[in-house]
Amino acid sequence: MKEDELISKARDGSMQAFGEIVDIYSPVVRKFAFQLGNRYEEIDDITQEVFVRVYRFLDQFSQAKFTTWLYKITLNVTRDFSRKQKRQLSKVLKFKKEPKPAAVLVEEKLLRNEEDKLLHFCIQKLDEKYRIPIILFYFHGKKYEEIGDILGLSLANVKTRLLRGKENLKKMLADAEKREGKFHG
Amino acid sequence: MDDKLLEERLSNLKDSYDNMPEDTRKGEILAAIKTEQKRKLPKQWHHLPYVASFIGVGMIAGILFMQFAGDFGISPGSETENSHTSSAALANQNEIDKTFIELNEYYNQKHEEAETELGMETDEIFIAREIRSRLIEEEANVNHIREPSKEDLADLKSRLIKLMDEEFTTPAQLIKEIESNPNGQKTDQLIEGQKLLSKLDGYKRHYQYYLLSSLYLGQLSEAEKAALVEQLQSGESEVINVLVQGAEDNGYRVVSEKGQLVVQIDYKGIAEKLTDALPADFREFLHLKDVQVFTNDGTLILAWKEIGDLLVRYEELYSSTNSSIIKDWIKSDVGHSLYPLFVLGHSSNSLFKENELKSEVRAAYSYVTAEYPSFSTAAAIKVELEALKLNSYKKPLNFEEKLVLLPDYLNMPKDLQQAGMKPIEEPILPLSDQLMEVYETFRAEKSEEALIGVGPFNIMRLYYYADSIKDYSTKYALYSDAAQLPALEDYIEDQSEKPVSLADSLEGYRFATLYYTDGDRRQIKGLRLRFDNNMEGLLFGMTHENGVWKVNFLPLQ
Repeated sequence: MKEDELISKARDGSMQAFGEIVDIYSPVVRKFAFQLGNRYEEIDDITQEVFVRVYRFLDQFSQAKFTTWLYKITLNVTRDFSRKQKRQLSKVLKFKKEPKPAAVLVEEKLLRNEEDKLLHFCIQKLDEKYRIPIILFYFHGKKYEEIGDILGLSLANVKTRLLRGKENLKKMLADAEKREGKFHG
Repeated sequence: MDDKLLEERLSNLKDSYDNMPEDTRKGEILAAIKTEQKRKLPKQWHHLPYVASFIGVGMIAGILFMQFAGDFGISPGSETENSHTSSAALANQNEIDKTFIELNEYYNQKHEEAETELGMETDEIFIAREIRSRLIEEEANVNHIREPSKEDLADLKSRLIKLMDEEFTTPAQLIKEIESNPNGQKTDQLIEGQKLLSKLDGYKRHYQYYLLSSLYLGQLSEAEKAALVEQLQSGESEVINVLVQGAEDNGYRVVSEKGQLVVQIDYKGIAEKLTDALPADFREFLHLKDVQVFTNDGTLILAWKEIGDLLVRYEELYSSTNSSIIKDWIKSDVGHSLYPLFVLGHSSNSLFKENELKSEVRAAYSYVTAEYPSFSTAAAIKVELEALKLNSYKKPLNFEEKLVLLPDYLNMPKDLQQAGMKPIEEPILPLSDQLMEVYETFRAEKSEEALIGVGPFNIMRLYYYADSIKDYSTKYALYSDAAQLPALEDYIEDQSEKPVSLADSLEGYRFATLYYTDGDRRQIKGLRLRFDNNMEGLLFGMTHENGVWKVNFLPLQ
């Protein structure tokens, strides 16, 4: 079934069609959510929330390409989740809490290669305005126009951000590798 | 590092990402969608249930937002709306951006003020998270899906601001308002009191959420939990002190329960603080509400005999008050939870031990029947006790599924039960948040479109409300058969001079039933309002006109 047929059926209340939408697009959402820097253990909750919002606003979805809309919703859900993480426990409690080792372990398993791991963490440290275009361009094969649609940017802006993002990333990566002394030391 | 090397490494990382396990929890997602389906309320007429006023504020906000989305967005089949939107001047990107920057700034400002008032020290957005995420969603939708007209954008902005104002009104602000008006009419005081109760319930969730997700985030050790309790008792922690002060100002108390901090609504404290501004029966109701029946985690803590006493005190208040609003509250609290608890027991404290009625339960039942023989609570308990006696005080089969026979004072009159008429038990005033939204829309536009899908009972409530706030032009607009009405100016002049409010006629009001012509269920002619001293009641005449319910001129007969 074509994308627009599926959406139309889901909009009419077909859970089977909505289930197919989940099958087709959930890997994209999961991957994008992880690349945006969410903890692996949060990915399931984020994916669920994304599809709940897709369902909630399916009636209002019209001209735009579905995937563009999906990326936008994933970004919004991620922003909501990241606000949660900003809770400053130390400000509230008089004692320190242990860091959570579990999340690190999962990511260690997902990215076994040291180079991949370092690059992943450097991307997370990039400013959001550079990070998201890089993720969409390099990991999701999105063209400049589509990135512009997702982020509400002009073509020129997308190109500039990609260029600056790459420059920043190269610098961060070089600094990180220097510090770790693993690859160039 | 050159570009080529970076791109190679990005490509390698993409391969790693592509190999991520694809173990989507599809079942859970679809289950969440099912829950979401239930939230999508059909927009057909129905009596907004009484309990709606107690539903958490965030949820109401969510539902209202769904309605906004429907009103504002491109809904399937709404060709007229679409053509209207496309023909109006469209908002440009700068205007959209400016609107949302202002809305977000407004949200942040209101949120910060509310958190300070509540005594929560945190960077997290606890309150109105639903609104926050809807703001983000609306912005995305406006930017990428819709092309709003300038008018639509302005309308959306004013609705969102209004909703935020309502959401961020703290219990402390309502308490101050009530306190500042000690000589108000009893009906007004009760309406304000009900708003406060609803707000207290809603904001209690914020405190619980704050405690759970900030102070108790993660798994605290017993020592860490004890440290928090110690900080509460010693007053050494500035954070806890601020929380305690904020909670007190807002009608709550922070206490230690089972070694953990919990926030309770301080009904008794509110009653004492508002001695001069609340009627005595309302204050007595607050005192009864203050009795802690369960712990925060849902364990029953009140002894059976104490529950019996509490039930009798509720019945006493029911008999002595002449306020239909308080009677409704009691019916809701006692009929739905406290009385069933007394005769069914609770998962944390069964009535039976090894299939035998516990001696303390039997003693409590006997105590109520012996001490308060004239109360209908005692009569109902006597029936229960005798049934158990016949069964040698053994636990009957399927006991938990048995039908609870409520004391007479909580039941409907038998003639109504026989006639199969369903009483509408929600109060006429105040309006629920949902209905208030309908009212505001109708007041602004006086367009019958705002009344589509609103049932006769709720239209009657709008009529009473318009009268109670002296909004006579809206009251006038609710009448049917416009051609037969007096001129609006004459009507307003006449209404402004009347010495009593329509709401005064509600003293002793108990519930309403639909009123049909000659028993024909298809011919609704209005509502019959039943009163304590007049169960025959008054007729409130209505007409179905142009697809909506309207009020007959001089409706009360």
